[in-house]
Amino acid sequence: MEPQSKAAARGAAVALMLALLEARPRHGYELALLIAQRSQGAIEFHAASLYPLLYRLERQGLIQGRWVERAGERRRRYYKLRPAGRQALAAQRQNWGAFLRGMAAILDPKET
Amino acid sequence: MPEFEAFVRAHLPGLGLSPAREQEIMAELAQQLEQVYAQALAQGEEPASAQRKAAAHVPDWRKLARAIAAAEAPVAARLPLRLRLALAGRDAAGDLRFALRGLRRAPGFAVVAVLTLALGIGANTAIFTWVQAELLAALPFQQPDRLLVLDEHANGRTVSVPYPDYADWQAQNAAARGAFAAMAWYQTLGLNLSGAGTPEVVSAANVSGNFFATLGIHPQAGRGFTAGADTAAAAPEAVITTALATRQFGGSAGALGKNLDLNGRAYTVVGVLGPGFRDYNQTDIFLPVGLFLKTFDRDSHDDADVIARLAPGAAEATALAQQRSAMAKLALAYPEDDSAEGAVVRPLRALYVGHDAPMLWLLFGAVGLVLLIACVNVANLMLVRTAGRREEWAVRAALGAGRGRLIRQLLVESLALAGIGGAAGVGLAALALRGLKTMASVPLRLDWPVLGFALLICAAAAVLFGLAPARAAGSRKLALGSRGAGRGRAGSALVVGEVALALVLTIAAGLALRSFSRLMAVNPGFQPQQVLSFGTNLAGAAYGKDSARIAIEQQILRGLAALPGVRSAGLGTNLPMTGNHDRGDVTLAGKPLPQRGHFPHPDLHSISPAYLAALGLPLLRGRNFSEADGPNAPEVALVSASFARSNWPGEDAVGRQFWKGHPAPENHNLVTVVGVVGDTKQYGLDAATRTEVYYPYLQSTPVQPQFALRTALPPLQFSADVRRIVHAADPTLPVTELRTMEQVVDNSVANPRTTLWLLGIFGALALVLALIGIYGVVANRTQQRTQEIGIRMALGAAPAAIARMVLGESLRWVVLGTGLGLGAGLAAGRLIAAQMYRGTAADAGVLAGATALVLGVGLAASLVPMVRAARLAPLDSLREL
Repeated sequence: MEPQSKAAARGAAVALMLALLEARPRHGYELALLIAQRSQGAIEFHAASLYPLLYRLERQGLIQGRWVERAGERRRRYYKLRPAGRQALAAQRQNWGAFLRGMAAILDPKET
Repeated sequence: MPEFEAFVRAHLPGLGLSPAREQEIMAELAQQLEQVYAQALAQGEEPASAQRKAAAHVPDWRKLARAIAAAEAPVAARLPLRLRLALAGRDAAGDLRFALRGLRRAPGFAVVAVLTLALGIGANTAIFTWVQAELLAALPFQQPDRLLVLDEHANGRTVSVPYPDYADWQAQNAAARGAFAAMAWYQTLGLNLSGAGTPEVVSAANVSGNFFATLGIHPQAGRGFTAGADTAAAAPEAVITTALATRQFGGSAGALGKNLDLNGRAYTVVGVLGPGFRDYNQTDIFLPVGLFLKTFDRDSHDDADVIARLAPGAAEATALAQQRSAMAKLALAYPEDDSAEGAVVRPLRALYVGHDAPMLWLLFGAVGLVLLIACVNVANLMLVRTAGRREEWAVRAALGAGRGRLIRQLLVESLALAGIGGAAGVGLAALALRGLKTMASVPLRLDWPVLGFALLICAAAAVLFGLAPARAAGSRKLALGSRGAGRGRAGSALVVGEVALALVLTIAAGLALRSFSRLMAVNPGFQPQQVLSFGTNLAGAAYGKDSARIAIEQQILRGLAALPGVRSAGLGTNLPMTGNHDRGDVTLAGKPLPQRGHFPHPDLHSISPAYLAALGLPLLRGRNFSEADGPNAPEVALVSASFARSNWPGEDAVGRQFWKGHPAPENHNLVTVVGVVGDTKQYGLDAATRTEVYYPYLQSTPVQPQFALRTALPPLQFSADVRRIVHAADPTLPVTELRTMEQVVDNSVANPRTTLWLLGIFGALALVLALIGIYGVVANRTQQRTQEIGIRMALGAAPAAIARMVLGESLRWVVLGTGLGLGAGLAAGRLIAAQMYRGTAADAGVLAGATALVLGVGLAASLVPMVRAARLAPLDSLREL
C-alpha cells in the first residue's frame, strides 16, 4: 500500500502547489513557507521533496520557472501557472472537494 | 554572506543533465539555502549558527539528487515516442542554445572560426557543384549506364563510323540477337538556318528513326521520327530542342508544324524535345538520316557515332567482343575500306565528360586540402578555447558531468560552428559559381545533391576539428583542472600538418604557373595580334557550284580589303585553334607506294593569297598563291615546314609533286608544291605540330569559309563593317564566331588558365589560413609560457635570447612541416604534372620558391608573438603566477 499512499501524498502536494501559484508567481522558498504557515505547521515541505516536485511539474508543462532579478535582491527563480496547470488545478479542486466533503461527512457525522 | 552556490556545488552529486540545467538547479538550491540562512538571522540567530542551520537544511544530498534526477527524467521515459523525440529535441536545442551563448561570449573566436570554415566549405561546395554537374550527374536518359558509343579504330585513333558499317552491324546484331537491344545512328551537321531573324549556323544531326527510342526519351511535344526515316523516302521533318523552339518560334507549342529553312530546304517541325535534354554536341536540330543516304560511302568517317543500348543481361565486354568480330567480318568483305580497322566501345557518358575531367578531379583534390587546413585551424582555435575554459570544464567534471557529457557539449559546439560556417560557405559558393559558370561547359546549379554534399562536409568538418579538443576535454588532466591541457603537443602537431598541407597546395599552384608560362611561351606559328576573324556558311542551294561560291567569296574579300584600316583580308577553311579541321591522305610522286593506313595524312586547307599576310604566317621558301592560281591553272599547293621535312627530308620541297588521295586510274590531279610556309599550332599551344597542306581557294573552294582581317585599328571596331559587307553580298548568310584571333588563342588555353587561377586562389587561401593558424598557436603558446619567460628574464635572459627561444620553437614546427610538405608535394606533384603541359614534378625552382614562401609565412606568423615575448616586463609576467 506504500506506493499508493505515496501517490496520494504526491497528488495532494500537486494540488497545494498549483493552488498557491494560482494568484501569482512565487519562488520555491516562499511556497514552502506559505504551506507551513497556512496549514499552521501541519504540512511541511522540505527542500528534498519541494524542488523535485517543482521540477516534475515544470517538466509536465503545468508550471514554468523563470529567473527574476529585482533591485536590491538576489535573483530568484519564480514559478507561474501555465494554462495546462490551471486546467489541472480545476480538476484537482473538483476531485479534492468531493473527496473532502465525503471524508468530513464520515468523520464528523453529528453535523449531518 | 556565505557562498552557498559553491556549497551546493560541492555537495550535490552529478545529475546527468545538461550543464545549463544543472547550473540552474544548483543556483536555485543555493537560493533556498540563502533564504534559510537569512531567515535564521532575522530570527536573531548568530551567523555561525544560521550557517549551520542552512548547511543542515538538506540532510541527504544523494537522496535529493536522485529525486531531482527522477523528476527530470522519467516523465520522458513514460512518454510516447513522439513526445520523447520532441523532448530530446528540446534537450538538443538546450545544448545548442548553450553552445551559441558560448560563441556569443567569444565573438573573436566565433568570427574567425566561422569565416575560416565558410571559406573552406564554400570553395568545396563550388568545386563540387562543377564536379557533380559535369562528372557525376546522371545523363537525362533512361538507364543511361546501359548506353554505349560504338566507334571504329584505325591508325591508332578512334574514328567515326561509316553508315554502311552501321547498317551491317545492325543487321548482324538483329540476326544473332546480339549484345545490343538497339543501335542508333547519329551524325553531326553544320547547317545554315535562315528565315525569321538573323541567319545562324545551327548544330544539327541526322539520326536514325530509332535514335530517341534508343536513348529512352520521347519528344515533349509532337512526335519523333516514323519508320520511314531511315529510307530515301523519308519526309523532310525535324525534331528540335526547346531552346531552339523558344529562340525561333517563341515556345514549344508554337513550333509544331512550322517550317525551318535549313541550307535553303524546308523541314517541318514534328517534335520538340524537353528542356532537360542534353546532347554532347549541343545539337539543336535532328533530321532523319534517310535524307542523307546518298552522301554516305564505306570509306567516309565523318563525325558520326553509333549509340547503342545493351541488351538486358549483356555486359560491355560482350559488346566489345561482338563489335570486334563484326569488324573482322567487314574487313574480309571489304578489304579495300575496312582492312586496318578495329572496334571501340565506350560508355556514352565518356562523350559528355570530355577533357575537363582530370582538371576537375585535380581541383577537387586541391580544394579538399584547403578544407583540411581550415579544419586544422578551427581545431586549433577550439583547443586554445578549451584550454582557456579549463576551469569551467574542471568544475563540470567535478560535479559529475561525465566525459561523454562534456564531449557531447563540445561536439554540439563544433556542429553549431560548422552549421553557421556551412551556411555562410554555401552563400560564398553561390557567389563563386557566378565566376565558375563562365568556365564550365555545363550549367552549374546549387541543387539538392550539392546542398547534401555541403551538409556532409560540414558534419565531417565538425568531427574533424571537434575531435582534438574533445579528446583534450575528455582527458583526466583537464578534469583535474591541470593548466597543461591543450597546450604543447596537439598545437604543434597542428602547425606541422598545416604547414605541410599549405606547402603541397603552394607547390601545386607553382607547378601550374610554371606549366602555364611554358604554354604561353609557345610560338603559335602565326601572329594573333590585331586580327579579326569570322566565318560564314555557303552550304545553301544557291552555292552548289564552285563558281557561285568563288564569286561571293571574292565579293566579300574585296569589300573587306577596301575598308580603311584593314591591312589584309584573307580566307581559309580552318583557322588555327578553332578546332575545325579537314584531313586527307596524299600520295607523293616519285616515292614507293606506302601500305594502306600509312599514306601521308596532312591537315588540308583552302586559302586565299592574303591568308598568309592576314594571319602573319611566314613564307619560308618559294612563292605565295596568287589570283592566277585559278580553276583552269595547274594545280598547286603550299606545304608546311613539317610536311616538307617529313616527306622530303634534306631536299627542297618546292617543285615536288603529289596526288590528292590514293592512286587510282582516274586520279590525274598531280599537285605541284610552289612554296613552304611555317608550321602553326593548329590544335592549340599544347598540341603537337601536325603536317599541313594548303590549296588555293580558287582550285578547291571552301563551303564554310573563315575570314581573317589584319587591321591597323582595334579589330573589334570592324564588327559592324563585317556584317554590313557580308549581308550586302547576301542577306541570308550568317556571320559566325566574330572574334579576334587573340580571343581564339585565349579560348584555346581556357582550361589551363582556369586551373592556374583556381590553384592559385587555393594556394593563397592555404597560405593565409596557415598564417592565421601558426600565429594562433605560437601566440597562445607564448602566452602560456609568460611566467616561464618572466623567470628567465628575471634570471638575466636578454630579450634577444627570449625572442630566439620563441622563434626557434615555432620555426622547428614550421621546418618539420615543410619537410613533410616537400615529400607530399613531390608525390602529389607527379599526379599534378601529368595533367599539365610539359609538367615536371621535380621542378627545383617551384619547390624552392614554394618552400621559401611557406617558411616566410611561418616566420611572419611568429614575429608578433616573438616581439611581444621579448618586450615582456619581467614583473608583469611574474604577477600572473
